[in-house]
Order: sequence, then C-alpha cells, then structure tokens
Amino acid sequence: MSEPRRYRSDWRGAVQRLSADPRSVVAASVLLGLALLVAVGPMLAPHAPNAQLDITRLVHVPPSRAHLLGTDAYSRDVLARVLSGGRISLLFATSAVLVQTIVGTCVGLFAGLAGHRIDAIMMRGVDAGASVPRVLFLLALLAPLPHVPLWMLVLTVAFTGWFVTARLVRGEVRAIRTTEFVHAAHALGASRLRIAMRHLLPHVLGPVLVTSTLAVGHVIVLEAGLSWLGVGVQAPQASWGNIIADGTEFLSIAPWVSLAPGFCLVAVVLAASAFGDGLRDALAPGQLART
Amino acid sequence: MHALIQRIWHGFVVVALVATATFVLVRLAPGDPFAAALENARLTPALREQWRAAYGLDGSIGTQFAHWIASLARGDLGFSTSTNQPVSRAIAAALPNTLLLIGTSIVIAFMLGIWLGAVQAAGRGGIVDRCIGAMTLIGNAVPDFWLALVMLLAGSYWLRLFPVGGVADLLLPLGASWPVLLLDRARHLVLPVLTMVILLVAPIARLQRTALLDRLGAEWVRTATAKGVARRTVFRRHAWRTALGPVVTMAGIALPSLFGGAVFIERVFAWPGMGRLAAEAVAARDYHLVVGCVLVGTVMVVIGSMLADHVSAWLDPRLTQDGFEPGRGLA
Repeated sequence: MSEPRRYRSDWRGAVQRLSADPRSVVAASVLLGLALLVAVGPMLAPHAPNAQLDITRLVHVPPSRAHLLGTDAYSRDVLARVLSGGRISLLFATSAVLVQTIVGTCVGLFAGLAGHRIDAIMMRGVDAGASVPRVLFLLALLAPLPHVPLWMLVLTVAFTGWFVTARLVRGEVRAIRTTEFVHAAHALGASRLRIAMRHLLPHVLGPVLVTSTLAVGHVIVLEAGLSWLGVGVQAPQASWGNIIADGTEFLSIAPWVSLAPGFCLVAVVLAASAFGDGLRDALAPGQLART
Repeated sequence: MHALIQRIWHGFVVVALVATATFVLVRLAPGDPFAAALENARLTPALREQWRAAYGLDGSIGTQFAHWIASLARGDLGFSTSTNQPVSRAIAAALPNTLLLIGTSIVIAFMLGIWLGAVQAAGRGGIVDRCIGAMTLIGNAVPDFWLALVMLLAGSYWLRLFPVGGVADLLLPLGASWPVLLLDRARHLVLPVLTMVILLVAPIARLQRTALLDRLGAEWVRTATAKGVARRTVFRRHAWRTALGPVVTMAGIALPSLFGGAVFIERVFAWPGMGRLAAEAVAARDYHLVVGCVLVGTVMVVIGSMLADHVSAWLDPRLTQDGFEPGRGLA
C-alpha cells in the first residue's frame, strides 16, 4: 500500500520550492496570521461584538484609543465586530470551498471516465451552471427564504461553485486516461474506482489545489456580497459583508465602519491569490503560469 | 459551418437549462407574489386565486411552465406584477442602461489592460513591470461592492466631483440642449464605469502579459526575428496578435461575473439597469420578471462567449486548423 515514490518526491519538491518563494511565504503568513487573529481575537477584545455600549453617547465614534476602529450606528465596537465577523467569513469560505472542491472533483472524475455520451450531457450541464450569473442566482434562491441556517448557506454557495473544478478535472482526466500507466493498471485488473482514486486523482490534485486556493478569495467575497445584500449571514451575527452593509447607510458620516472590514477582505483575497500563484509555480516549475 | 451550428445548438441548450432551472427554483420557495407582496387581510383567498389565474401563476409547476413556454413562443415573457407592466417592457427599459455601463467599461478596460500587459511584457522584470503587476494584483483582490462604496465615498463625498447616483440629473431643464444632456450622462457614468474598469483591467493585464511572454518565446516569433523582421513588427504582428486570443476568450468567460458585478455596482450608484431590476424582482417575488432577467442575462452571456470564441479563432490561425474546436478556446 505504499505510495509510489515519484509523487511523494514531487510534492516534497513543491513544498521546498514554495518555502523558497518569498511571495508565497508572505502570503501564507498573512493568511495564518489573520486566521489566528480571528480565532483568538474575539476572546481578547475588550468589548463583545453585539454589545450596544451607549446608544446616546457612543454612536459613530471615530477610531480612537478606546475604540481602535471606531463604533457603528448602534454604538457597537467595530474592532470586536470585525474580529468576530472574520471568524464567520473565513470559516464560511474555507468550508464552502472544501465542499465545492470535493463535488467538482468527483463530478470531473466521473465525467472524464464516462463514455462519450454521458460526458457530453454532463458537460452541457456544467456549461449551463457556469454561465449563470452566480450572485443573481443565489439571490433568487435565498431572498424568499425567511431564515437560512449558516450550514445551509455554505452548502448553497458550494453547490453553485463546483463547475470550474469539474471542468478542470474532467479535462485532465480526458488527457491522461489513454496513457500507458492507466492502461497498465487496467490490464492488471484494477477497478475503475481504483484507477480513479489511486492513479488519476494524484495527477489532478495539483491543479485542483491551485484552483481551490484561488476560490477561497472568490467565495469570501461572494459571501460578503450576499451578506451585504442582506441574504447572507444574518444580523446580529457579524460577518465582514454585513458590517460593510451596516456602514453603507452612514457612509458619509462614519466611513470607518465600512472601510475596516473591506480592507480585511482585500488582505485575504490578495494573500489567497498570491499563495495560489506561488503554489501553481511550485507545482509546475519552469513552466509559465497557465491562463 | 458545422461547428457554428453545433455551437448555436449548445448555446440554446444552455439557455433552456438555465431558464427551466430558474423557473422551477423561484417557485420552490414558500409564498408567491400574491401571498407576500400584498399583506392585506381583506383580500379573500378567492380573489387571490383569480389573480393567480390571470397572471398565469395557478396550477402545478408543470402547467405553469407549459403556459409560459407557449407565450414565450409568441415572444411574450409574461407580466411583471411588481412593476405592473409587461416583462419585456421592464427589461427594455433597463437593458440599455446596463449595456451602456458594461459596454463602456469593457471597451476602456480592454484597451487599458492590453496596453498595460504589453508594456509589462516588453519590459519584463523591470520596475514598470513590477509596479503594474502589484497594481493588478490589488485590483484583482478588491470586492466589487466595496470598491463601488469607496469610489462613491471618494468621488462624491470627499472630492464632490461626481453625482452620488442615477443616470441623469432630474433637475435639468426639460429643453436642455444635447451637449448638456450628454455631459450630464457622462458625469453620471464616470464613477460606476471607473469601478468596473478597475475590476476588469487587472485580470486582462495579467493575462495579456502571460500570453505575450509565452508567444515571445514561440518558434514562429524566433523565425520572424531570424528573417530580419523589425523588432517592433515582430512584437506587433507575430506575438501580439496571437496573444490577444486568450484575452478575448477571457472576455467571454468573464461575462457572467460582469452581470453579477452589475447587481452590486448598480445598487451602490442607483443605476436603473438589469442588475437592480433583477434584485428588486427577486425581493418582490416577481416570478416572471426574475425568469425574464435571468433568461436575457444568460442569452447575453452565451452570445458574448460565442463571439469571443470566434474572434479569438480569427486572431490565432492555429485554432481553426488541426480540427481544433473553436468552442473550447485556449486551455
């Protein structure tokens, strides 16, 4: 049951190249730092994220020493909300990406190994899914529902996001399914499932990992956008998107409410995309980044 | 020719699938236009039923769908309950605004992005390349709705240069001359277009740079250089032209997200386009209008990606040889 050595050394080499690339190291540190910050931050913050501190005197206080990021229209501490909201936003994005990657990989493997007709039908479905404006579709789906639990929201977002991964995996599988090592495995009596899991999956894992890293950035923005529109994470639970929404109405008098979570979003997406790029280069050394 | 017919057929299938899915999904949620929008206890259930029948919203989903397809065949998209007009008229009023916004942004973003990418590739590894690279990296990372808010904050509140929203100044005198109207329209366009251009230009420049660097190392480019073709001509005629292919293909792929982005940007700038119309239709559970918006949006996306594929095939002659499918674009 030992892994073929070649893959292992491939991955080891990739990790080595990754840790030698300053851009990837910085990106990874930013991501880990932010994750750590939102994990322990809410416990250290002096105020509770939903506490209305003083609704007569502490409304829209600009950033100061007592309130590093100011307060919002309900006199809540913006820093505490950004930390608590970041927890939800990051958790949301990672779990949704995990689900959509698994679904996309499975569908892609299946379509890639299936016969021509089934493959064609499935790919038309994927084409259809990929041409729908995702935000609009999610809006139509979520708006009429009174209260959507968070895990359902994660699943809904994930099930509208697996098309790219499916297309990628299917393409890779189509390209390598007629190669010698697959024929050899088949000749040795390996089942389709075994060929898919043991021989094809390791080959597509690299590109899939890159796509997923980049998708974290997309999904965190998508969640923020949905929450901003009012159909995502529901008040009073903070998320970066609905903190920006809280501040939108008072943009001219209290811009700090909307600005702070926005900068956090930019940092996460920037780090995720830089890390994804680094990962792609590390997995395919000497090759130009593919489009 | 055969490929084109196949492509149109595929596009038709995609549109049909999306329309059917939307049609069913909006009806799966509890409530309908006459249960939610009219919270009036004095309306009898019998009256609500009568209205449902009048708007083609009674019976099972199957019969409703058959009814809808039958009217669609006559070019009728149904009646919008929330805006109280035919869906086609509501869309006809909103679509030009969105096309103006998206169209202007695409043209500017492509010219700017292709130019920036070419500048980067020409001076690869230099300071200019790095600066533009850093800017595009940030441009790629900014959330659309937040950028729109920042633009609004900076352009309208801090600098006080541009109007806060809308397509035109309502206080303009009725008989204003056309240069005044045009200038007013342009002033309203600046912030939303600028937002969209910043979002669009980043991926275009990055892709253009990568594709151009790839082409500059290609055999036919080396051959041309070896033949003694001038450096500028090699860059423009041999490398650049083929490097435009992936960028054009990306334009086709980016269209759905553009329509998605329009939802946010139109909301921030109170721009009465398709995105805002669709968002309002969803909130009001205006079934026919939701389906109509999604249908028109998907048709636009499909036509756009078809156009993009054929333009990129024309730009790069290799794509039409060796039985390459124009439908797939570049890997």
